[in-house]
Amino acid sequence: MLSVQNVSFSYGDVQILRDVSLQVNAQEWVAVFGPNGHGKSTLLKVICGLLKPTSGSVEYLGERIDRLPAGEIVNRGLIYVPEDRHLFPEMTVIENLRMGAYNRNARPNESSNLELVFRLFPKLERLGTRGALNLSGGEARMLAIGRGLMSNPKFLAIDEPSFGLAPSLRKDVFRAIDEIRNRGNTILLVEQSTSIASKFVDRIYVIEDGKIVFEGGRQEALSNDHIMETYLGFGTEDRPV
Amino acid sequence: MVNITKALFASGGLLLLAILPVFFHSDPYIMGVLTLCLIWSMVAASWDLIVGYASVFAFAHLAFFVIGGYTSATLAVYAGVSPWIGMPVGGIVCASLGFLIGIPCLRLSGMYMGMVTFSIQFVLPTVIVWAGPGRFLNFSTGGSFGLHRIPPIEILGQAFSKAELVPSYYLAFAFFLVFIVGIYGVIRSRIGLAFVTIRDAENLAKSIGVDERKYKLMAFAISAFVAGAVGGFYAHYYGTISPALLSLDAFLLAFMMVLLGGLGVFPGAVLGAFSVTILNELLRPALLWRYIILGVIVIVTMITVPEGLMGIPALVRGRLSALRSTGLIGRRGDAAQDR
Amino acid sequence: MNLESFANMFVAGITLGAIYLLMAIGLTLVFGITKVLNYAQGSFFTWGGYLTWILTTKYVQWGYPVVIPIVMLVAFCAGILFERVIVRPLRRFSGWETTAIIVTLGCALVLDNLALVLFDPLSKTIPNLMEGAFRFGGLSIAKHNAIMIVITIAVLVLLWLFLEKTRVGMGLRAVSQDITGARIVGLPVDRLYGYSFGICTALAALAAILLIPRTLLYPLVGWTTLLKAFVVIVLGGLGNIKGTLIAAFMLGQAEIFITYYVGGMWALPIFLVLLVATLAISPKGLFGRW
Repeated sequence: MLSVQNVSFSYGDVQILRDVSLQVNAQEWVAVFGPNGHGKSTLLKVICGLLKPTSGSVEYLGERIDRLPAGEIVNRGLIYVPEDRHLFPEMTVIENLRMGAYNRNARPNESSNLELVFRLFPKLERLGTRGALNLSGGEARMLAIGRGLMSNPKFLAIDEPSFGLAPSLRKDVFRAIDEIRNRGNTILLVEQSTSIASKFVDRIYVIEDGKIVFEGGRQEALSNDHIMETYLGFGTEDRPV
Repeated sequence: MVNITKALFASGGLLLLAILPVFFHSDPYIMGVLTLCLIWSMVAASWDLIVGYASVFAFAHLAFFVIGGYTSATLAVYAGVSPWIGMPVGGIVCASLGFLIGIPCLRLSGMYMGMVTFSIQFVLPTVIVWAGPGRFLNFSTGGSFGLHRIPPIEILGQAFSKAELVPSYYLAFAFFLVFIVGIYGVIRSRIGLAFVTIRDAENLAKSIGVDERKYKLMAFAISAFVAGAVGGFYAHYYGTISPALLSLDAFLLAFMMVLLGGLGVFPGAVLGAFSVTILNELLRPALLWRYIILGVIVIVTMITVPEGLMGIPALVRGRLSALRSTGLIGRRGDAAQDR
Repeated sequence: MNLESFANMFVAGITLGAIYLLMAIGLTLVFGITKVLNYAQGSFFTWGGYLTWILTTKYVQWGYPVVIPIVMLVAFCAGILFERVIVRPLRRFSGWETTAIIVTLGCALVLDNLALVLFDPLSKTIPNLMEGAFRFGGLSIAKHNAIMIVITIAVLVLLWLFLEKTRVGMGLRAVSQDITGARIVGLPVDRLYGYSFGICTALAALAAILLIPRTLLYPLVGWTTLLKAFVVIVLGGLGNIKGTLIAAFMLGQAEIFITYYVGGMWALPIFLVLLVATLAISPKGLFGRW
């Protein structure tokens, strides 16, 4: 479904991504792990059209999208949920969600998507008219994902959904994403919290220094001691099964 | 560290400026234009100091120029004060005004500073016209017609008015050297260094205690002083000064000089001043359409080369590399790889 | 000064405040959404006046109910064109804020001088929205002024409804609040930029239609209004609607009284001095929050 081929990205003189290639197949849940500041977020931004790659290409559903404006990419169902949320601070929770359904593909499904969002995140329904500025970290995170859902995605690219959240909230968020996946969506995730993510994902990439250093299925990663300790931060005791 | 190429170009340029009168000394029109170029170079360079280096949207520069001009002119016409005193007084008046305005306004975000200072230029003609003929008993600004018969600068009996082609040119050149070197000195000094630091690494600057406001205020006052002093020179050179310099087209012409030379790129403002002054002369035959054409040129230039003349090499390099990647032209050194 | 003339001056002050509010809101809207301060808005004001002159005096004598929508529509389209042709190409470059200022000023220069060349420098007049006055007891209010107030309120209410309730309006607000968020939800950012410029120029044209019948029409007429709107914005705070509202009406009243006591030409100079003094005391303007 999504094919990233040999993408490099530089910001001025600093090269952030080096020759990155990755694939996500339909209805898969793929995670990208790796130390902070090594290009995970940049990779997502390039895929979703917020940044243009210096070289390489991004293909989505067989079409090259790296030259398209962000709006066009959204219209094709590839939705980005950023780490710093970028909610509309002076709008309410409901208004933020409604804005998610602005583009023409999402509009017809606005009410059914809204229902879905409220089912996955009942707290958002209760918060309804609260201003987006007054939300806690967890609530804002849920709103960002919810808003992404309102854009009628087929493919959700989520950056650090559980960052800064309490462990119980993290589980809730991941369960919600799991349900979203099970409804037919494809998920690409960038995460720091590898322990929880590893329970849900199908395949894992690890990026370090702007390069892919590991690619493999979940079981493969879990049974690879080197990967587990170096990149995923697990000692032999606390590995997920 | 001085760039050798730059130093060579600079010296070459100065040499050229110094010997130009040898070729044009008998042509009043060209000498007048060249002298004007020198005057505007000083104005543009001082404007670049505050807008380009200090990154402040200070748009009152022409207002300072005119205030300085009127100060020195009225002192000379009504009190017989020598221009050698009048010009610095004009500069000091403007520097003081700069402080007065700068202290409250520099705290504002850029856009506000721009709006306020821009308005000053447009409010000034009202005041000047109001203080015109008939208002006061012993004094008049000349209203919209301006002040005339302003005495020229004199040294040992030699007058430096517009009629004195070569002497005035060299006097302007002398002022030019003093002010341009002076501005260069400021840029190289702690003040200029502070601005580069603020521009490139704001948090670092704050953490080592660089007081941005203090430096901006200093730069504003210095640039206002230069504008005011040069305004005085202008008034004595031409013998007249009027509010016509406070129009939108004058503002655009002057600001274009700064932008064309590249904001914050040192000798750029001089190049910009020469280019725009000459362009303005070339456009004169167009009469009323002159400003329309000028406006269009401004717009098109800014859309294509917003970094001004200094941006052209990069633009050319960009096109060249685009051409190279199509294989139409080769790279330097390709020949060496021929088998 | 008796009650009647005071009341008249008060109403006149309100109408002036309305004009400045229209200009200020247009500028604030455009700045909030596109981060460009439209220095050419005064020239769009001027052209709104000339277009109205053409349609009500020079070539035909159409009535205002027809002329106002036409002129506003033309101004709206001109604003969209302006954004597309002149402002949009600048965004590619860093440091485009400075370039945007000079480019909008360049446009102002072209528009002003085009007006000068096409319409000559002699002042012209355009008719009042309605002649005569309403009388209540001893007080009379010029019908033109009364209509001015009604139209301004109507337009502002419509604008508020547009921004709060319609999809496009919410899109505009979204762009002004978080541009990246707007891109993420797929808002057509370029098109929205165009609309915001269009609204700004349309408001300027409306302000011209309302104000110019009371004064004269000449090629530089838009500048004083623009600069006074600048003062309103700095006092009220860019983006602070309530502050702008209060500042606009305060300055409107102030101008009427300044005109009465020392003459209209002193309004802007006094405003500037007051502004700088206010800033010296209270750096965030009167109402802070920028």
